[in-house]
Amino acid sequence: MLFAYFTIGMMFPFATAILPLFLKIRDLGLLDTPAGVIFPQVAFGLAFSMMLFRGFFEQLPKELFEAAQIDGIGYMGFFFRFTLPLSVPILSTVATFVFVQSWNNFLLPLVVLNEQPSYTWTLGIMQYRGAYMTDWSRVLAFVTLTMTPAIVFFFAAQKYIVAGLTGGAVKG
Amino acid sequence: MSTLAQTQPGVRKTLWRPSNALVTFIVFMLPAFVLFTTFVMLPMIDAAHFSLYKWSGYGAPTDFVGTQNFERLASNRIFLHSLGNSLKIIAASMFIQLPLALGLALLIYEKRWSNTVFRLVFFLPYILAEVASGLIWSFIFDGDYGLAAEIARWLNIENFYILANRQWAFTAILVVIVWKYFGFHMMIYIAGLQSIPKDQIEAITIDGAGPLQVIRYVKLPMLKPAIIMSVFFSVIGALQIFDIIIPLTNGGPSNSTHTIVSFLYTFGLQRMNIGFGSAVGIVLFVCCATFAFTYRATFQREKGAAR
Repeated sequence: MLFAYFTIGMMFPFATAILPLFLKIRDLGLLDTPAGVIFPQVAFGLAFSMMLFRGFFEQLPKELFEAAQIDGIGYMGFFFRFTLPLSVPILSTVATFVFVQSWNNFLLPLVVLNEQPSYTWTLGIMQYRGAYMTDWSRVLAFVTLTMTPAIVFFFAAQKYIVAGLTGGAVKG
Repeated sequence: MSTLAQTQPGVRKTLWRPSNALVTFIVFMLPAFVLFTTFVMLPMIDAAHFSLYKWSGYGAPTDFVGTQNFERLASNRIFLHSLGNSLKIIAASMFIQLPLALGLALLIYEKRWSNTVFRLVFFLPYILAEVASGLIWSFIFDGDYGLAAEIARWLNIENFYILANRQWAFTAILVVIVWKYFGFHMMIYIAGLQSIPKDQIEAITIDGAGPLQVIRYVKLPMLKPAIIMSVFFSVIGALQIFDIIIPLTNGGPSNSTHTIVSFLYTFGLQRMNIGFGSAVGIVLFVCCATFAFTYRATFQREKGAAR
């Protein structure tokens, strides 16, 4: 039930709510603050991450949990002592996706951040482009620089990506 | 002895279980639930509400106009054009991007050192920011300084500015979109192909099937869930294309390359037409939801029939 509630969020396009979201953030006084981008980013990323995690957790052997229960370990203890250590692959997959999405996000910062000091790089690069219309070497240098973190992160986690997609997403 | 050992854990279990479960539930669920409701669900509901008003976003919405915003949309030529553009993106994803991704996946799915390199290279566009890809491609298409200028010089023809050309600008955008997202779908297919049991392929090979027949009778049927999945993602994704339009054409020339979302941004948000913009959002939502539900329903019925 609760999971269905969250998956609705995945089918709802982010752009549908962009205007009310802007008003909400404005009324909360969060325009031009990092929090104004962080909270919606987290909220909209939840559904996809939960889907990947759920696909993985479902495959954990049930016997493990039963055994832990018999030994008197609670939900919390089980989570920290068993689930988390076993979840390194799926954590890497989700972390990569979430990192890349947040780092690359354009529409949300575009709506929330209007003052230049609070810009993220995606906004900065568009402004830079406007300033150096024809000086492609500068613009492309900026592009190269900003690609690097995402690529480094991706290479570090790449062996988990295919596995994560098989476990979580493709099962359907 | 043995009965005691068996009942004791059971007793302990009933003692700690309910409260522990509740605490766990609150700790793990509450933050996500609050965030999701505040920043996803409530704005969605607001959008439906605001779409019935003419409102600049200041004060309370009082100017109730009923379905007028939707009527204005239905007769707005730019909006209808941007709907058409979104449909073009869906078509390009289905008939160019997915076959391309499938073909490449079939070529490089086996676990080999060289294949890993190819896989990473093909996946790279997907992890690039849309804004960055848009800028890279607008350099390539630039008729004065970019690769396009180089090609024009080489072919000895006049410089052409494809992104400023009403007829061809959107085709150029389609090329960028296919390039940007085929790697993602390729990965889905690779994951699907790698999970096909080897003995099935061996069995049909022993029966004398060639590589094409293996693809036709084993690999494609086994890939069905992956294909269903990737079609779903590509349609929902195509409807939401925005970031990549801005650096390439910003909707121009003369508003001919807008998508639904870039139309929403340009005519709803930039001009603070909250009601009108929300109406666009609702149309987008109805498109996505209708597709998602009919698609799921057909897919699930099929799954049931197969059993």
